Amino acid sequence: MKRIKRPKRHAYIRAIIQLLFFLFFPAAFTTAFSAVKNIFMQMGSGIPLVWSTFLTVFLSLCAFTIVFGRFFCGYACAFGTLGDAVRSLYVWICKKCRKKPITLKVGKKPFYLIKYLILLLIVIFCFTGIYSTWKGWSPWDVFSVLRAGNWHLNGDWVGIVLLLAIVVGMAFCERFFCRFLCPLGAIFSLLPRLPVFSVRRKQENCAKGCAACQRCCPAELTLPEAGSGTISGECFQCQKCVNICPKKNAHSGFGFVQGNTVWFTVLQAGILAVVLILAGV
Amino acid sequence: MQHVFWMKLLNCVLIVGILLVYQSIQQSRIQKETISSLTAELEQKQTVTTASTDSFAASSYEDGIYQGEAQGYGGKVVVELTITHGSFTDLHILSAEQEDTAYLEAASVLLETILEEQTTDVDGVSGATFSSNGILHATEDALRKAEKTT
Repeated sequence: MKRIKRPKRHAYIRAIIQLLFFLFFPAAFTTAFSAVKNIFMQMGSGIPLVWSTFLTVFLSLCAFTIVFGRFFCGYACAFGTLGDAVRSLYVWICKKCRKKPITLKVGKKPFYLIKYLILLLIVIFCFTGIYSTWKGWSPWDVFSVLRAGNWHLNGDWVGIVLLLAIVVGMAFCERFFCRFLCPLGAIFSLLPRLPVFSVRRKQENCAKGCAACQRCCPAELTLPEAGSGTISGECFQCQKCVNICPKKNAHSGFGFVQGNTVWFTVLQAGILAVVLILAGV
Repeated sequence: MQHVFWMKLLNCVLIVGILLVYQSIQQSRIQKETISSLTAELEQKQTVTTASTDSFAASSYEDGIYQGEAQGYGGKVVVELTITHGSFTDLHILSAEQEDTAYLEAASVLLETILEEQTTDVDGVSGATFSSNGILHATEDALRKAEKTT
């Protein structure tokens, strides 16, 4: 009984945190990424860099990620929340129709590298100035504008089509966008991260033949060995593996500060919210 | 592995370093430019004796305070434009509740640009297109109300 309860409870807490961030900080991801675009646009046109709220938000998110890992991606990003919502809705509908939901797995195929390519392309387009001529292409912009309740979308049809395609992908593959396409996620994975809050396990203590952590992982990761200091850039701290492990072998944090405990999850969310407010979102 | 962490850290330091170098180069360039443009201005003033060309071009706008509104990023942007002696003397945002703070802040530069250039025919702030358009269109809306009906 207890074993089923723990992941469920955490899933509810995560959903509540995601909903709150979605309502109060919906534009955090576009704001942060705008900083990167602006830097390269300014460099491309040969003018000095301008300090803006975008940059403050971006840098504070980077600092947060260096300490806590990609908690922002897992709990706070509005686009990630959209992905989780679409996926849950799809699974729920399948359940009602008594059908098995389709789940696409990519395994070890290096699809995750696509996001670095996208980041590189966006950076190059910003630098050469092509980016600003492509109005209405960004599915991110379309989404954030729609979310703001602005339905006056004219000429943004490329962005709308891309957004729809991404939403379809999100339904069939958990965290489709975050894993394969997100340029902000690419930056976060490239950041150095302190190994304190990364998820790890002692494989020798694992139950034989158990791969529960691997099967529940939205990013299809294999947990790194404790003490090796390896951190996958793809992990966005959803803590599902920590919760599902029947032997409580997967863990993050240290001592009594465990990444999956309720108080610490709420505390992390609180710190992130304060950081975002201070940065001026 | 630990060395991955140090590699990534080194990369970050490198990127920040490059940005700082770029910034200092640009700033020294701009400093030089302002100095040369100021000296040029000074020379011009010394050679050309004042020839005031203050011809009051008959403005097509009625004096007064006008409000205009337009669609921004998430909702209506309302601006207030003051026209005295036919030229724009004050422009500020009255309300923009649905706008995102960072974007609105970036786009607010336009308020001064419009006052300086005395026209709404200015480029929007890149990266804050929606809020920029909100401010520009709202100002145009205010201008339509200010037009002289002759």
